[in-house]
Amino acid sequence: MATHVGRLPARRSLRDVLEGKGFPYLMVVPTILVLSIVGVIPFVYTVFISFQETSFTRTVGFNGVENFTSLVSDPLFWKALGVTSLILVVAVPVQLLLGLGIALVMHRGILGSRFIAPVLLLPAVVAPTVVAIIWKVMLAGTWGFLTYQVVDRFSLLERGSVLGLPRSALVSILLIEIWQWTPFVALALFAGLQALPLSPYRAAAVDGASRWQIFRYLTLPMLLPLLAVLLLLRTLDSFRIFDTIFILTGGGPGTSTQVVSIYLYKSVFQFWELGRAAAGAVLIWVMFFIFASILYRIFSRRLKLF
Amino acid sequence: MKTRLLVALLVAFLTAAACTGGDDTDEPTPTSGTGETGGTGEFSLAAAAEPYQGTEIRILDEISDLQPVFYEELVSQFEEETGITVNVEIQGHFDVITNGEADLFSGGGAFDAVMLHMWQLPNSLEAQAVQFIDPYLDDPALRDPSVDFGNFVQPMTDETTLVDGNRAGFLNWSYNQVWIGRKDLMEHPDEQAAFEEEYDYALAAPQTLQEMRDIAEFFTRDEGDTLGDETLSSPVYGFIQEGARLGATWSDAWYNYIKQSGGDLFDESGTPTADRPENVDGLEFWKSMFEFAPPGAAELSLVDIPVILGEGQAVTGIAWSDFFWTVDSDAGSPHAGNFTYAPVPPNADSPDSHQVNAAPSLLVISNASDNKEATYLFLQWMVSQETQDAWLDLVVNQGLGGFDPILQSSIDNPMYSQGPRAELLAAIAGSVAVGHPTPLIQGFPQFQDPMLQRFQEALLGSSAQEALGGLQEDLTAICSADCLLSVG
Amino acid sequence: MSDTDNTRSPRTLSRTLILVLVTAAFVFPVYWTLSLSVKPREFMFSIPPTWLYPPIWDHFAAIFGNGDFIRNIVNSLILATTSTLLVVLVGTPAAYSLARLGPKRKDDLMMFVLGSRMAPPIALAIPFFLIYQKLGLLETHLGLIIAYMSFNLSFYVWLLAVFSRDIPADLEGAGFADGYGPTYVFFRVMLPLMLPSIIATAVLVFIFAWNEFLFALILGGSAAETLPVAISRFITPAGVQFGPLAALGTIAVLPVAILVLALHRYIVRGLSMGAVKG
Repeated sequence: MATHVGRLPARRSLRDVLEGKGFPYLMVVPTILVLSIVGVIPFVYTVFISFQETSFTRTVGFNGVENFTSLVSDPLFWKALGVTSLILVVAVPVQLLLGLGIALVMHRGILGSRFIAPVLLLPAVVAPTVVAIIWKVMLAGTWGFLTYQVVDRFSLLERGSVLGLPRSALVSILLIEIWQWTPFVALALFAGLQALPLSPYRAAAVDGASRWQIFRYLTLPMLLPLLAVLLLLRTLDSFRIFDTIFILTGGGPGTSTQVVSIYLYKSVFQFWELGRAAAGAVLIWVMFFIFASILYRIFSRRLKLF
Repeated sequence: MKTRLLVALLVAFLTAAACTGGDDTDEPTPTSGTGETGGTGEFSLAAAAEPYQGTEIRILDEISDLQPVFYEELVSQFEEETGITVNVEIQGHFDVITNGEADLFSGGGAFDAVMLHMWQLPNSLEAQAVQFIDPYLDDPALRDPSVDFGNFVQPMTDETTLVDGNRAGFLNWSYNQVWIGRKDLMEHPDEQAAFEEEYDYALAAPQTLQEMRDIAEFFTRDEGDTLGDETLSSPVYGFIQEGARLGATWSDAWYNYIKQSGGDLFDESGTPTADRPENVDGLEFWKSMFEFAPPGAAELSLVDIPVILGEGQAVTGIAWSDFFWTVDSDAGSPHAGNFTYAPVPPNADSPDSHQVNAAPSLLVISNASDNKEATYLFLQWMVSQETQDAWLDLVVNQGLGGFDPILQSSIDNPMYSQGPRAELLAAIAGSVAVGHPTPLIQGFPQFQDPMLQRFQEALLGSSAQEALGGLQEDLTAICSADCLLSVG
Repeated sequence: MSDTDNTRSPRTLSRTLILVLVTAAFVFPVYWTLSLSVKPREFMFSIPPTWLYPPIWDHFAAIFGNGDFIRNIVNSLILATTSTLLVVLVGTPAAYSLARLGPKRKDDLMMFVLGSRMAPPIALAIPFFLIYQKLGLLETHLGLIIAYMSFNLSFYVWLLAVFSRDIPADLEGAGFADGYGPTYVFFRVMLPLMLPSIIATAVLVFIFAWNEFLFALILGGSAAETLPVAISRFITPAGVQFGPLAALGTIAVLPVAILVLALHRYIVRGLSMGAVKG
């Protein structure tokens, strides 16, 4: 009788898993699970609805791409995209430019930045709902603070009030966005500036470079990844704007400040056109994944974060 | 053989008739839900509610001064008598619409009864979300014969609650608009003298829209002018009404002005007729009132108006009456006690078209409710004579909350014209008498947006003609004919 | 250009002045509006605006005396705290794993995490609404907690992973060299080191949950009405009263303001998704 000397098959106990190769995956599993449930399932469901004909909150039958065609032939959809794009194209660059300016001043040297910085952060962390109330008070028709001090004093409007006219309402929304996020951008860029390596600057000083040259050829390139991240983050965030505009103007006057989120909200909860709203959500989602992958590439390659 | 068979059949037939025919109770069965009630039978709420004891029902309603005293003081009586618990959720105008529809249309059943504005009804009907009350009206175990549709304020009640001959619910709140003015200023001798000199008639609550405009013009003053006894340090405005942002602006312009000029946005057959010349006149008039309004008026919604009037920024205005129970009190306004009220006046150029913007609403039973009978009993109790009288008593004699009459008998009740709020009540009665709900239009929310947009255009620069021309295009694009569902 | 000048030279002082003015300008609207919470009614709508007045507490009394608003505050507290705790429990191991252990397909996972953070809430709220309806999760605390996980969990994992990479790996290395297994190393070595980052990131997650509006509006209804939603729905029987509204807003802002003043550097890092270095 031959005796086999061999190993018994290892009994996989929890201990083994915890101590073994499976550990990294085990740690991640709960998160993946949760995100799948709260992220993937709703997404799949939305895709499903976008191909269905809907009646109020029930789905009635397969609809092909009719929801999508109905969506892109709705002028209000394009209007909403237009308003959102306007915010994007105007408010975001202004935030970055103004923020950069402030950050440069701070970086050049000020006293008490430890005290100024936290206060500057306030607009960014105040609940958007409260931001809406703040600006409702500032821009109120007759008694609003800014209405009195600026609009009426300089007779900026011939008639009506700031939030009652389409153009001025839109300008207000832009200004509010800029107001809320410029300080944050400034602080982020300030931190970025402070973290820049000193040696290139010493070398440049030795070489006699001018202030502008230093900025243009040294600071700016080194700041570029951070600027890119902020640009993308602010861009993505402007697509998500909802709370403030919803409460302040409700998308009005008319539909002049109706951004995509509000358009989708009204499609569902006012007009009950679920199929079309789902189609819109799917399109937005697709756009977002594209943006997010670009963002990630910057994080992992340029910023070397991952 | 044949005879015995016949007799047996006859006996069987008679027995069957006896069993299904008359009831144990004395009440005769009402013949139809819409007709008059017969009968002299005693209705016992406790007895009717007995099978539903221990049920809990949930109601969604809109905030106004009407509900607090009603739900707080009176509902407990219902609960005690029936053993049914009533949970009431009160939300603001915009939220009650959104959340109410969300629950109704999705069949969620979170609420057993939901408050609906009339214009919400078509969508709710299409979504099959509403439980009509005819089965309960016809059920002698549930029907209180003293609740008599002949006694409800008409034509508002039938126009609001009858759809194709079926009863969608009871008229619950006859929300209405009234004209409001500052009594201290209207009765000020200097102001009266100045007014009469300028306009050739006495300063008093306006009898016509034109008078309303004169008064508005008269009271629009600049910084430095006198108003009553004081010299103004900032401008004061003669008039305020809801501006063009959401809310009920579309119905203000439509009912108080366009229809009062003899026009309408739809004709009887339901075809859009937005650009009629009478409509242009009406919209021009509506627009002209804003010359006397504070600059912010174009963005003010119905919930802002009471504050403007209450704080004295405007001297007169048109607002929903239900707010003024609180506004005209020490807690609500520094000018409490100085308000005077009148129904919204007719157009002197078209006196036969007297209409006031009313938004009669109903509490409908949700089709997804598990407690429909209990809910019906509660809703029926709300509109019964006894309850309405008790409520009127609380308001008139104890100064609590507010009241909107839905029964003619309430208006005829001597209590109605007594007490410190009699003037407001009288104005309400005047408005309710000529108040009509929105016509029943399929997909109505889609019509609201263009209406708001076009009316606002008129307000902000276009002519009424252009705006209405544009509106006609918008409406026709949504529905070119037969847009109205049948009411009554 | 990089030599930050911290001396009290005139240039520095003037720059400081500029910054102070800029800061004041940005923060002024917040101050002005929240100050309405103590402004007597007769000064509230005055034209020109009144700057000085005796403060009153009536508006705050009106808020605290109203059971509904207390309920809103409690709801917001419960939701923010519970969802933050859950996020920390579920997300911390994942953050560690992604930062250190480099599981295969890490890039895909991180993309997945980032994507779910970036999705516009309305796109998620719609299916959530429909699904919750069928499951009876509307107007429940549980429903909102789950919904909040959708953006907060991904944010937390991402940010904590970024922060954790900054922690030097020597100590873990030492732990492994001593023969300890990964579980021990994680719990006994890394976790204590991660604690400051965990707290800071958890604070951010708490702020997001506290400020959240869209999900609470659509999914919370009235039973789970949070502060932001209550603020948006603020209508009294006498119309919109700005005094009590400002008081409610102050209550909503104060906790966040305190947290921010204490942890502002972390929060700047956090809001930039970790792109900014310490």
